[in-house]
Amino acid sequence: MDLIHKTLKTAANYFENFFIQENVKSFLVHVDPRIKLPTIASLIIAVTLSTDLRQLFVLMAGFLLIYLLSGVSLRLYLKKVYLLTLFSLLIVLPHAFLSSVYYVVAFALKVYISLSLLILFSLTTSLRDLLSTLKFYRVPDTIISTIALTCIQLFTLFKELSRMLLARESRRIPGKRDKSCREVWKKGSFEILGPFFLRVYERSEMISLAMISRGFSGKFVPMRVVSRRLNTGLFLVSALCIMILWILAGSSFLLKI
Amino acid sequence: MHNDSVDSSRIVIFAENLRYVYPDGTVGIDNASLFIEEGEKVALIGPNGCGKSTLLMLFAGLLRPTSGTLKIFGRNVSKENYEFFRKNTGILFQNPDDFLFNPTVLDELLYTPINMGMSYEEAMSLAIRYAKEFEIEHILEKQPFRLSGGEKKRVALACVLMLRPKLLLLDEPMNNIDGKTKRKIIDVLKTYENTLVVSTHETHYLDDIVNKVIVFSEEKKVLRIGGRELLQDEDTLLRAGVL
Repeated sequence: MDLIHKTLKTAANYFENFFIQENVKSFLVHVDPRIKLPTIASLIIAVTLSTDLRQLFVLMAGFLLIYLLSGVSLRLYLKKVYLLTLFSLLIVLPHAFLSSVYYVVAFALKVYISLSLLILFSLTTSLRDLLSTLKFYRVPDTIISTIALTCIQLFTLFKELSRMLLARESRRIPGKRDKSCREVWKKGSFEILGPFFLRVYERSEMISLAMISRGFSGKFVPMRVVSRRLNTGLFLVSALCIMILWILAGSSFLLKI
Repeated sequence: MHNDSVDSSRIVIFAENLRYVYPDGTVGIDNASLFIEEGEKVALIGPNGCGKSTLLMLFAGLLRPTSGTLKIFGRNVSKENYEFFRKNTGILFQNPDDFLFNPTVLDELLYTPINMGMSYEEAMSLAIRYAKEFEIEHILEKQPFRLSGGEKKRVALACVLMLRPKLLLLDEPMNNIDGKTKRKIIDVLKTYENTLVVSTHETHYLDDIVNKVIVFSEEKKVLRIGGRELLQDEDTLLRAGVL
């Protein structure tokens, strides 16, 4: 299998899994998404606003606490987080020679923590709850419908790519007459991309018709959000503690102590 | 096209010179004229690619005819009648992967009732009842794409039947499923009290179910319309390319 084929296959599998909402039973699943969404968003904003490593380490510790509470399996979490973190590290690595190692570490940490928080959120919040929460916060219907359709179509896109690559692999003999992905790419013949986009387009059309046949009228209809007060309270208190520590770490208060 | 003995107020589907051409120029169905009465159980029989699926999409109001007349419950396929069609027709797609698009099976079951304006409690109780009836209550939290072919079909069928549509359209319901699911589908078809249209290229299970048969040719035209005796008419079935 040549490098491009292998990379495409890995990327397709990764993103296919990335957009799947696994059936995780945990403490975080029962936290009210109307609290969980703004809290996670605030933590991510804190990550991006962090100016030194101490603040990032506080948020990292906070994330680990939330992760332990979440009950998400380590394997599942690592499967989702590794590729984009490695990719961001690769992108920023030249800065280690051009500017400073500090910048590289801070950048990679920021990506890692933000992504981890997002993954925890997506693993413990169903699409239905997320959309109902956005509706609760009066996000415009167009944006909610766009998010709903994007989530459905993105999965279709990567699933279709996986299928095509598997089918192609099953009928190829490496090194024989069949062209490698690299050759196909070089020739620019769109032998893969053309049929791929056509297939995705046709599947998307069918899914849209299925949605219409089942009553979709262009607007998402919210559902009641089911949660537990105790879980929500504990989560909120933990997040508040993390935020306070983050603010303290950013000021010179801790140094003075 | 009407028979004198037919009461026009009982006609559910009326099609005259119906033609549908896909945007790429492929003819989906050509010059089809037929009618289906209330309560009839109809089989659309023909070889692969003869336009059965296209016709069901047209009957469900999901596609608009390129030319000809099509009236469902006496109404044209138009935006104004959108809600009426959704509330009164149910269609099962040939490929369940196209039909199931929600993150979990429970979400699939809740989708239609919620979109039809039911309260969460009502929708949930309906979903649980149908999950039990179709023996899918153990997979409610599973992702639909991870189910077996038979499970997917049962989930899809449960989704379609939940609101007991007045017109039920099933596209190749027996494709790629196990014996258990086949028996379940046959039970559903036998006991369904409203109008039913099934498209298929298999005829062996239709004897006790349908009372009207419409045979299509490879040219995407109606070849013959008749009673269930057409299922035994080898000459017609051979001409249609079914046998």
